[in-house]
Amino acid sequence: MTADITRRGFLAGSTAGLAAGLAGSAWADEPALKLKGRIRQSVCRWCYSSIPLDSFAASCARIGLQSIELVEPADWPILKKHGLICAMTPSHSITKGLNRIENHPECLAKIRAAIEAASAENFPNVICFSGNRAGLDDAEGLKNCEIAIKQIAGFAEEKKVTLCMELLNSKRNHKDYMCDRTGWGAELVKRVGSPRFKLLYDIYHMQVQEGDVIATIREYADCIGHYHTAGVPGRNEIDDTQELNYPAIMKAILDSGFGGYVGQEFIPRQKDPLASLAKAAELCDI
Amino acid sequence: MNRRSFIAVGTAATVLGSTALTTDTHAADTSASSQRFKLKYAPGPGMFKNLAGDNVLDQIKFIHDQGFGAFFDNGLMGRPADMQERIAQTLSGLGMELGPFVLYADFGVKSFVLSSADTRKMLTDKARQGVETAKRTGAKWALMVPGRYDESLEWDYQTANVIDNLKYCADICGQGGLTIVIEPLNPHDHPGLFLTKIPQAYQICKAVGSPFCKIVNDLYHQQITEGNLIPNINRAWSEIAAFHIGDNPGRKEPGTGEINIKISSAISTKKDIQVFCVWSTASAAADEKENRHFWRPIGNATAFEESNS
Repeated sequence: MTADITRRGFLAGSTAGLAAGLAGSAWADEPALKLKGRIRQSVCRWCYSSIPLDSFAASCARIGLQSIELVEPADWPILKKHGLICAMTPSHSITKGLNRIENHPECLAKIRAAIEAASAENFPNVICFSGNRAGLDDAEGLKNCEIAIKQIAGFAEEKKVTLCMELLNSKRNHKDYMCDRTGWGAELVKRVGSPRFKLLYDIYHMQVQEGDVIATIREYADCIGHYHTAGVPGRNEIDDTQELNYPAIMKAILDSGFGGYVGQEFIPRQKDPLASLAKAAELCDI
Repeated sequence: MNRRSFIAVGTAATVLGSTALTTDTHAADTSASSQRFKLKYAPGPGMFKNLAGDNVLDQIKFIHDQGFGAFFDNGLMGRPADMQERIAQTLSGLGMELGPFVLYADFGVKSFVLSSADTRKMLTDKARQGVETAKRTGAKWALMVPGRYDESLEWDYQTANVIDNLKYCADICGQGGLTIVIEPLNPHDHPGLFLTKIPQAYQICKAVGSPFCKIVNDLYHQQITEGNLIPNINRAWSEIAAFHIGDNPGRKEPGTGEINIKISSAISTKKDIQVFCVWSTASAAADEKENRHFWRPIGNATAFEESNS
């Protein structure tokens, strides 16, 4: 059932989440983890949508995470109650993004509001998306994204919030999504030329799309403001059930001088989602 | 000393420096293991030179004693015929198999992508030579790299030509019981080559339609080129005959990079896996010493096995 959830559905406001209750999580009885915290870890809310936020936030704090991300500002008091931040503030939709001029007014309004909200709490990042190609040429889309982001970059700088465009695979999960290669995203970062516009490098998506993860992280470290995780294939746990060696990747992230957050974004399929999250947090705590 | 503790000695020695390495590992020289690796990991010549000596036959015996069931020798074709035969006899006496040898891999020229009588003759002559080597050695797999792409010819024509040329070669090789394995290589290390992706190799093998034309999937190359390793292993499985292993970045030992060593569990659950080559070409150690870089992959090969149990 967990595999039926998608972030898109969650972001669209779907309430059809997990039916399975989590009252029986064995993890809840374990002592709190002591993470070294050299990698600052966050988790995406949508992967655990069946757990009430208050209870989830309490668990995340015990695991040693510092953030729950992609949470609407209205729910931030719950995060703050547990000493957590929202390391990535949501804004506009994935498919209707900045690569088309006609989307700019709506997307930029949402980005602006998200920057305002994040800034008020000293939260670091706001997400944005290229949108789908829908027949649009990649060079044209790049130009349109540049036009949009240049309109908001000054505001982001003023508010000390970083706008991050997410890299997603177009092979499997987000057919036709334009920002599907690191090189394309890095070119956009270069053209915008603001310290407050970077990429969200999703390790799962980029392993599906292009591979060569560590070399890419090293090459484009200056362009990356945030990371997401998940196992390949399946987008599930990041343990030995999949093909990526996450500790080595985390080491490369740390060695690149990265000071931001890594957001766990896998859909737990093992029997105890919180145990899976705790295990992933330990695996990435290098 | 059993294999696991032997491997532990070797692995520990890698952090102690070369003197300790020599001392510790020589102590293990004569040890043999009753445990056998389940997958056909195939170390190559030279990997155990410091422990087994310069003689390749001694190296094969040593490899056997460490639990391996296979050996690979890229340069087999270039060895004198009598040496090829002695290698084959040694392997046969130990009940070991021979992984793919390199039949043809010229990175500098356009070959398979051309529709030319001369090129075809050159390739089919090579295939015949490969069959001769196979007859002498009992080798069942031989590696071919389709060479450079042609900027002056539309891509689909090149694909068609590669398929045609492979059909001729596979026909000749097949008559000698030899299966060609074509190897995609990454464009970063080897710019200008035609074959880079697993889906592409799969498409070609399907079109060749011969049981004597398959893929060798080099996980190092594919991680650089396209990622998505397990989905491609699964989708192309019917056409994959062998693997090469090296981690990324750096083509170093399994476990040193971003590829999860336990990926082998996706492989070992398959039936009919023929040859699995352990191939690590560079050491993670800054001061590379002979031997050092070969212990770790073997140690990690144990992890492969454990993931299967």
